[in-house]
Amino acid sequence: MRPQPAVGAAPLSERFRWGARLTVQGLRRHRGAFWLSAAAFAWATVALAACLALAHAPGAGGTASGSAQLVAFLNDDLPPADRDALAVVLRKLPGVAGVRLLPSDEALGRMRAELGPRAALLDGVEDGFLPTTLEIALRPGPQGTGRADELAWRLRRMAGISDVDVLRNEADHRLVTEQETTRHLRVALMAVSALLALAGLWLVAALARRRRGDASILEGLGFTAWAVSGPAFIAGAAAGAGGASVVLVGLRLAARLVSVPSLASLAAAGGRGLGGGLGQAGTCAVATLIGGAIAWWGTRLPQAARGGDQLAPEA
Amino acid sequence: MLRLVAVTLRLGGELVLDALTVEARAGEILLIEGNRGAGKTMLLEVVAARRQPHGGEVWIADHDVTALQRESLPFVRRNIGFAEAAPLFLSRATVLENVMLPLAARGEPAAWAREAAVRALGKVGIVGLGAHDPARLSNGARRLAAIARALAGVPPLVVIDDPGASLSAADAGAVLSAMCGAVEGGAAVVCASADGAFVAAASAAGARRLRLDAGRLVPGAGTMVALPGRRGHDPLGVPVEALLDPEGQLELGS
Repeated sequence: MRPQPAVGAAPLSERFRWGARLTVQGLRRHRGAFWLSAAAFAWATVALAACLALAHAPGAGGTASGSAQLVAFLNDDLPPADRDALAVVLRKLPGVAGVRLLPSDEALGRMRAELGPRAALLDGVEDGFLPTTLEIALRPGPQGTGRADELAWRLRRMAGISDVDVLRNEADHRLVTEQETTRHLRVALMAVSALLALAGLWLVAALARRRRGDASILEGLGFTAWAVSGPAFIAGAAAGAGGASVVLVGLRLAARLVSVPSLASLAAAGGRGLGGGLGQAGTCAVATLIGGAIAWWGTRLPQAARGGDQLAPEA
Repeated sequence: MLRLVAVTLRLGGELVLDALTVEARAGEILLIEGNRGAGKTMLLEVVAARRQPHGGEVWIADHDVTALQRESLPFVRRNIGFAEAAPLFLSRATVLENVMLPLAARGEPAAWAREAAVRALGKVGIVGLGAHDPARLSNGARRLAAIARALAGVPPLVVIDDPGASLSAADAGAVLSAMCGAVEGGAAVVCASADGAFVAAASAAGARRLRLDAGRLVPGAGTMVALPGRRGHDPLGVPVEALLDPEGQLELGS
């Protein structure tokens, strides 16, 4: 039999048969890498679930009322007309609910009333003992405390105002501090989870790169890029689908079966987070595609130093 | 089958192949002789479409390989059986599975591919190693497995780098016999060797010899014996066994 050059593609049926055969062979030969890839995918999915659960977790309970009040002490030499004009200007500022001018004598009267039986302590105090003040009430809002500080900072720089006090709700202040701390902690945990997810994917990529040696041998023997990378894609996709499915099913089971409420709710949140807009089947499909794409990339890397396809002439 | 026209190759700025023009016809063995560093391996890599030259044309079965797109090269390579001096195999696959791979690339039916692979292993005398892992074989056995892979299914062009290296005289004789079998089947066999014993045996078997020195063909060197593929006849005229002495060693200097 005289050999005939086979310059065209092989028959489709044979290509599929050999593709299936080489895929099974590849899974058998690289079974360690396959299981490790699936485990790395599971790990990455768990880390991503934790990240998403944290992102969707409710914040520290309660909402700050955001109410705050400023007391601006006016200079004694500020003319009454200027005081009124200043009050008008402050009323127009955004976030200001109201401004009330409290004359010196009224402030003194109020102090006497607050001292009650000990009001005699103020006997003999001359008029103008207390400065005229402006009481500025801010509108309640989630950023009330921060806004009050900012407005106080500005008022201190205005002509005619000697000092400004910020009166705030103590419970509000504590709640805001707690919420800030929780937010920072959540962001840090989300970053750690995201890094762990990336580490899992990096491990998958490192395992995929090990197929490059096989790819260069097969390319040298005349396999097309599809024939070389196809089986690797299928194996990578299977690892991605397997790893992600195990985690998704595990989270669902944990949400139903775990008796510790916080763990169960965390599992449910993780599952919901992973589902997102895609749904859990969609998540699984994305993991499948990512697994396949990484495995494909692993076989298409630049050639190995030797034994590979030295196609391009060296400079 | 194979025609190289003014092929030039540089590596690291150094001229490795200098305007080489070589032709190998179907049904002949072309033996490239030369010392280490003469450019034999580079020439074989160019012939096997593994390396693109900087200049010239490489015609294989009426296709100029240098003008082909990268995507088309697999269709050329699957018609070339190539055994490197330091062969690579798929790890954790058997020798038989590795030898079947070129036939898989050609899309041959699996049963036929298996049969052809076993036949090729038998030709080089390692059919008993078919179920072994190539990584666990000796250098010589790995070389034989690579040559069997190159010869499996008798591709139209067989390229073997240093066929006698790491082999006993008996194994080298088996390899030469298998090469002659491929020639008889109509293939063109191109090989390179610096091994005087193998060169002498191949020359006795009718190989056309060319000598390469510093990337250039040496004029007038080697015997120019064309070996027509005579179907149904031993292309050597003598059986390979006749080249061996009573101890099975390859006779030298004949």
